[in-house]
Parts: sequence; C-alpha cells; structure tokens
Amino acid sequence: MKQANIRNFSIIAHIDHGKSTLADRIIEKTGLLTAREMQDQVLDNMDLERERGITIKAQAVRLIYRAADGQEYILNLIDTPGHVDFNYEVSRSLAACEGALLVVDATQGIEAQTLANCYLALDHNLEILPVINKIDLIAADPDRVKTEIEDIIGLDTSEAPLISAKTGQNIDEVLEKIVTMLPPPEGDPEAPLQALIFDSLYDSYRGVIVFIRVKEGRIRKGMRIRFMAAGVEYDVVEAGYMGAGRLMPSEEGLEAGEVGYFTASIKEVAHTRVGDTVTGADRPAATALPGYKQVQSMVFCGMYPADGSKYPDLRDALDKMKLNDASLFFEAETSKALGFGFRCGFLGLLHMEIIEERLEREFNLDLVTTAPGVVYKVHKNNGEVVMLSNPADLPEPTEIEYMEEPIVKAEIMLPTEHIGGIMKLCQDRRGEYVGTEYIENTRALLTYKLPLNEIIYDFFDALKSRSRGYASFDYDLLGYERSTLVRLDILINREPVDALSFIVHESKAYERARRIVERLKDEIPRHLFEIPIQAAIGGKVIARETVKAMRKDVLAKCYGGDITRKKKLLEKQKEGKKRMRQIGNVEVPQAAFMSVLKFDEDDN
Amino acid sequence: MEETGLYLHYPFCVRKCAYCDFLSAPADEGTRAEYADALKRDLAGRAQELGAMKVRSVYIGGGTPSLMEPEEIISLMQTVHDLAGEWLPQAECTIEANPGTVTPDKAVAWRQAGINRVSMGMQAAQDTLLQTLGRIHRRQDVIDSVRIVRQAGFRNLNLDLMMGLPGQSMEDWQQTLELAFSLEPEHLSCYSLILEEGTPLERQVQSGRMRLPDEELDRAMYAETLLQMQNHGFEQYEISNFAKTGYESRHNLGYWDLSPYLGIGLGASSYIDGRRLKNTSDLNAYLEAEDPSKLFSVEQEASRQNDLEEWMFLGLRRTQGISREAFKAFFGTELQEEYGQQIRELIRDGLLERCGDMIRLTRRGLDLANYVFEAFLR
Repeated sequence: MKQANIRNFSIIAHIDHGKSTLADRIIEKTGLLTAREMQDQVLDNMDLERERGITIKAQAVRLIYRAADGQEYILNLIDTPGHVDFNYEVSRSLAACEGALLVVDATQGIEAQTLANCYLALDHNLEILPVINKIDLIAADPDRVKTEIEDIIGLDTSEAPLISAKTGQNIDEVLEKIVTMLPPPEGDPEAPLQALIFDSLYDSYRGVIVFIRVKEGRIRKGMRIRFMAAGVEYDVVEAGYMGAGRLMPSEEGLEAGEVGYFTASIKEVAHTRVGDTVTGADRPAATALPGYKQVQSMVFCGMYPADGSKYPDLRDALDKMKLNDASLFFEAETSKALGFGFRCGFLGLLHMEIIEERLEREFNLDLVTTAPGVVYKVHKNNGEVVMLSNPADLPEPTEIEYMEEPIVKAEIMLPTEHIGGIMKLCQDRRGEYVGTEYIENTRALLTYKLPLNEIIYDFFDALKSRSRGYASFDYDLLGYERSTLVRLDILINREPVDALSFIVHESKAYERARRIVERLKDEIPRHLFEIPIQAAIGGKVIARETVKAMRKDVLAKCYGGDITRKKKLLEKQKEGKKRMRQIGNVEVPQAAFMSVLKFDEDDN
Repeated sequence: MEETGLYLHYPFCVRKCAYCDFLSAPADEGTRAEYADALKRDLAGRAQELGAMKVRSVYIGGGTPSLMEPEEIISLMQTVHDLAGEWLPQAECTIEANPGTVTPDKAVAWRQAGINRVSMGMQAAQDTLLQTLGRIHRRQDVIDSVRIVRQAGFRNLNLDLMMGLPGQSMEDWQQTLELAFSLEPEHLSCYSLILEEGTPLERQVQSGRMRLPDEELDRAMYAETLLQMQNHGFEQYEISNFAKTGYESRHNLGYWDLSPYLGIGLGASSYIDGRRLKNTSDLNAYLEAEDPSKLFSVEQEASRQNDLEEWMFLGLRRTQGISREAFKAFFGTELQEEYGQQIRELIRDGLLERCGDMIRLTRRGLDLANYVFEAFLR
C-alpha cells in the first residue's frame, strides 16, 4: 500500500481517561482485513491450524478504514504501556508513530500523565490530535478542558473530537481526523533497512516475534538481518502484519512506513531489545536509529519461594517471564532466613508488582518478597565504586567513604486545596521543593526532587489518600546524589535476619525502626518463650519490642461430636507452623517479611 | 460387645445462644414431636447394635433436651431400655437441662425415665453476662432449677460455667464460682469461651463491639478456678472438668478413653470399631426417613495412625495423663518408641511430666494443651 494511505499512531492518556475503551471502539468501527486478505484467511486453514494456541497481545493492530474520500487506509494502532515505570517503552512506541491521539477526560481535565505522555510525544515530533472523552457524563465540561489543553500544552483544540468512547458517540469523527490530521509516514523503500523494535514476544513455536516499524528500506522473508546494538545476525523466516488478533505473513514483507512483525527463529529474547535498530546484514545502514538505551533496573527485591522445595519452579518461572520481558533482571541469591531465592530487578514498583502477581497467578507460586530497594552507589575508601542492590552486600562502614542514592524529579498535578498536605508529604519524604505552577485557579503542578527510595514503597497511595484521589504523579530519574544512608538490621531473638535488612536515610532510621519492630511484634506469634525484636544500626540497638510468651493455647471442650473437627483444627494449626520460617528457634510467618513493605500505611 | 456409651441428640432450643455453633435451632411443637418419633425409629434401626451393647452411659444432649415433653422423654428412654442388651449397674444417664425450661413435672418424669444425672447450663452468675451470651435465663432461674431437680431426687448434678467472656471481670468469675459452689453440685465444668466462627458473638468481637479478656486475664481466671476447686473439695480430672470423688462423668470419660459410643439423632457422632461416623445434619431428611439410622457418613476410617493420635490428644486431656502400660497393651509398642522424641522435648519445655507409669500435662501444659497435642499429630 502507498505510504500516503498509511497512518501510524498511538493513543496516549492519563490512566482511566479512556484509552483502552477508545481503542476498542476504533477496532470495532474498522475492518481488520482488506478484501483480499479476507479471502486469504478463509483459504489458509493450515495457517490457522499452525497458530492455534497462540494469542497475540495487541502490541500493535492493523486496521483497515474506508475514509470519506472513498479510499482505503491502513491504520496501525500501536499500544503504549500506561505507567511511568515503562517510560522508555512508551517512548519507543511513540517513535514508531507519526501521530498520537491525546485522550483527555472531559470531567477531569489534564493530569500528570497527560502532560508527561504528551511531552514525550512532542519530543518525538508527533502530530497530536486532542480527543475529549466522556462527554456523556453530567460532570463533563469540554470547553474548560479544551481551554486547559490550549493554555497548558499549547495544542489547537478547534479540531478536537468530542466523544464518548463508552457510548460510541463521534468515533467516526475520530477515524476521519486520524486520516486528515495525522501525517502519513515517509521513508525510502529502496534505502538500506532501518527498522525500530518497539516490542517483542516469545512464542515457543517460532521463537521471538519482533514487532517493528520500518523507517527505511524493506524487510522480507529469507533476508539476513542484523540487530545493530545487540550485534547479532539472523535470517528472517517470516515477515508480516498483525491483524485479526493473529499474525498474517506477507510474501512482500514490510517496507518503509509500515508496521508489522518478523520472526527469525530467535531463541534469545535478549537479542531483540526494545529500541534497537534492525538492518540488513548485506547492505547495512550507516547509523542506527536514535534513542536506543539499555534498560536499567530501578527497583530490586529478593524473591523466595514460600516453600523452599519450589526453588527450581521459581527459577523456571523467572526464565519464562524473562522470555517476554527483557527488562526483568534476576540472579540467584541466598538468604540465611529465607534460603535459596533470587535478587530481582525491575523498572519500577508497578513492574515489580506485575511480575510478582504473574508469578503467583500464572505459575502458581507462593512467594516471599523482601522490601524493595533501589541501587545505591557505594564509594569505597580504596576508590572502588560498588553498585549496591542488596543491602546484605553493603561493605563494612569502615571501608565506605560515602554513598549516593538515586534522585528523581517528580511532577504532581493536584487541586490547589491539597497543596499543603502534599507538600508536607514530599517534605516528609525528604523532598526538595522545585516549584509550583498554577493551572487555572484550582489546580497546580508541583515539582519536587525526591529520593527514589522514598517513593518506591507507598508514595503513590499516600498521594492519593491525601488528595482524596485527585493528585496525579509522574517521575523521571535525575541522577545520583550524595546521601547519609545507613543499613537497618533486624534481630529476632537476638539473631540478625538478613532478609529484613534495608537501607534507609539516617534521619528516617529511628522512626522506621520503631514501626518495623512494632509490626513484627504483631506478626510473630507467641512462642513458649519471650522473643525480643530489635532494630539495630551497626550493632547498636535503636528500637525494641517483645513478643510475650504464649499464655493460652487450649481448646476448653472436646467431646464426642467435636473430635474429628478439633483434630482438623490442630492439624491446620500445625500445618500453619510448618509454613513458617525458622529463624533460630523462632517460627516467623511469611507475612512478617512482607510487613516491612507496608510500614508507612498508617502515615496517612 | 464392649461397654458402650449412648448419645441422643435433641437439636432444638428456645433461642440460639450468641456463642453456639452446635446443631441446634428453635422449632415448632409439631416438628419437635415428629423428631421425637424419628429418634425412636433411629433407635429401632440400630436394634442389633443396641442389643449387643453393654450400656455404660446414656447422654441426652442438645440443643435443649429439657424442652422435651415429659411423655416424650419417658417414651424415648423406654425404647432405649427395650432395645439395649445389657445395662451396666453403674450406668450413668444424663440429661442436659437449661435453667428456665425445667419444671417439677419434667424433673419427676426424668427420674421415672431412669435418668440419674442432670447437667445444667448455668454459665454465669450475672444477668448482664447471661444476656451477652444470649442465654434465655437469669441468675434466679439457675437457683430455682437446681432446687427443682434436687427436690425431684437427683443426687448427681453438674453445672456448666463459662469464663473468658466479653466484659467479664475476675470478680464476676469469682462470684460465678461462688454461686455455683453454694448450689452444692457434684460436678462442675468450667469452659474458657471458644469463639466459634460464624456465631453472632464472634461477629461482635470481630467488629470490635465486644472485647474478650486478654490471655492473661483468661488464664488468671483458670488459675483461680483450679484454686477454688481445690478449696471446695473438687478434684480436677480433665482440662475443664471437676468432680467430687466418684462423680466424674462416666459418659464423657469414654470420649477421652477411646471407648466406643453410639450417636443417635440428627448430626450425632459415633465411634464404633475405630471408625468415626456422623449422622446427617439435614433435619427434613432425618424426619422423613423411614429408617433414619441409615443416614450417616464415615468421617474417618479406622487406622492405627488415627488411634495413635487420638489416644494422645484425647488421653492427655485427662489430668491423670496416659498410662504407658495401657498404651503398650493397646498398640503393642512402647509409647517411647512411637513418640519418644516429642515427649522428651515437651518434658524439656515444661509442658509434660512423668509420674510413675503416667505421662501427663504439667500445670503449664494445661494452658498450652494444643501446643502439646499438635506434637503428636502427623
């Protein structure tokens, strides 16, 4: 198809402003197949058979739209992950497009992610079409929202469709505007191949399915290609489009301006990094496409199987996850308290939660997760710099000259009435005030520099609860800054528990220590003996609680009708103890290890 | 056949108590009459087993069996006597009664029916606590009901008492014990409240509307109980049971000694030939069945492992403990062989002690009995 009849676009929005609903409506309103493809699909039963069992996530979907001008257009809708953790992935998806629909909730107006995503799109010189959604709601105020978009972002809203993705109102207008307002792709099909990887997916049958936007040249079956950053070569087995929820191989392959996929029997997902450039091995491009960077884990935690014998299962599960998620990092580690497990690195806390949930749900694993931490730079006296992701590896204090911690720039969009509360929250989290920008009279954009380790726990929840849900938030890594950090060690019955150690700013140590010992006191069941729970810095105890000795564990009644039931109760109680972790002679429930994750919850 | 206990269940009450998770509910007169008939059909269905039985005890429990009409009780016990093979001379025959439902007519009828022991649910001496528990009676009803059964000639009376109740102070408990002693029963059962899931009381505690005494107070009440029992000439023979010499409940001892028992009635449990059985809990099915004795399911098959575990965790409920000799006679192996390590550790922890041939709970072991029992489960 001619480039003039192609539109490559993304939908960007603040969370809950209706991005996926609009995507669904657009897919419904358009065809997934051209007339010719329709015929092919019916005939091509072999293919169907081959693809059974594979569900293709809609990383990108190719839609066929017959516009008012009577012509057929191909609309490639490229999905973007919707969270700050995946900023880099979002930026690569945007780099594959010429345009973006900016969806704004007519009742809410601009939010932090609206801005962040919009700036990201502008950075990539995308044509942005604002779309005002949820106009069916009584609270909708499209005129105010339009003014906001013009004032804050400086986008022209005179062409902005007013829609309700929920009811389907004015979706046709959106489609028409995509054709008329967004530019077609450019690029020379005869030039050396340059294709941008914006996503990939592992399929056990074909190997990695690589999703690409061809910027220059063409790619087709049989061609030898090279991943420029990874420096590896493969022969293309299949190239084509994503349509109708499945892959549609194309004999002609893909050419400049098109969005699609290819496979090349790739078993190593690490070879197909998002942002890398694919070029021809025989006629390579002189340069790679700009913007590639290797993703770095921002947040680390230990993951252990609740049942130690499930260690191999956890390893297999992580291996499988890694196939589809190159940004997941893990390496084996051992904890005295928790046994064999893995130190895992994530893009952010949400990424961590997603992985954790998938491991538990899809692989049926019961996990114990240690407190998430960030990567600290430890400058040693001997000049060595250690990147520290596991508190247990912190060198002796005498060997450390100083430490640095990662700092982010946080932008918080909020109603002005909550500024006081949120500023207090940021101060409490060691934030450094940067500025306030007023948007209308009622809303403001608050900018702070914050240490990453202060926001990875529960900052978002605290933000929401202190603004009654109205504040939105986005952050960007700024770099490292020198900081006074200490390692807090927890001792249960005088035994240090490595899995509970974490690194904290000196000014926060006392308060956190007190909270954590209180929490552990509630989590650890009474034993036959008294159990001291202590928090210490370098051997000096700074907080202590005591789990009193068990006084009562007896069922007063056991007669004829009770015997089997009471026995089951005893068995259950015994089973519960088996699932606990033995630390010295203390049995510690799994939940205790998690309790350190939540120590700020009654902050609010 | 071995000496066997017979349990008869009466699943009706005036009003369900706030802590009760037993199979019991209010019902109209017609249903209750139908049930009395069904019980007799159930007994008839067991005629063969009953005929081969040496009855060592009968226990009519509930619910509130004292709700039964005098004729119903007489007729029911007549059926039992007709069917039972042998009736041991010392046979104990108990009826559970609740203050407020006891009348002189009934008490006399119980005597006529051959019942020789009454177990009365006194629970507390304070009307406010009785109200918290959802009991239908008041303090004065206890005094009146005891007088009635004494006047009818009962010489063996138990009172059930409860400690560890929401809002109960040590003083309340002492007064409860005091009132109980003043009524001169032969037997006392003192239960620390078990908050059963799904009961109204549990919901009230969960929601924070009521607060249970903490473990420390609960155990102080228990300690006070042991002391007062001693002072008043009651001997403890089980975690929650105390009796004047010779008045230990024969029926209940059977549960802890792994003696066989046959349960008749809705939801009743049986332990026969090492198997644990349970009758249906479906009232309509039970009432409509021609032969309700067929409506049971096996809860647990006989096995040496089950016997071992139950021998330990039931036997140790008795304060005299378990006899190593008796163990060996029953299982053919030494107790040390089966549970040597567990026993050593529990003795080390101060929860078990040796006394001649017996292994028994220590004073602290009485407070932490579950901890001890768990050790003997697989």
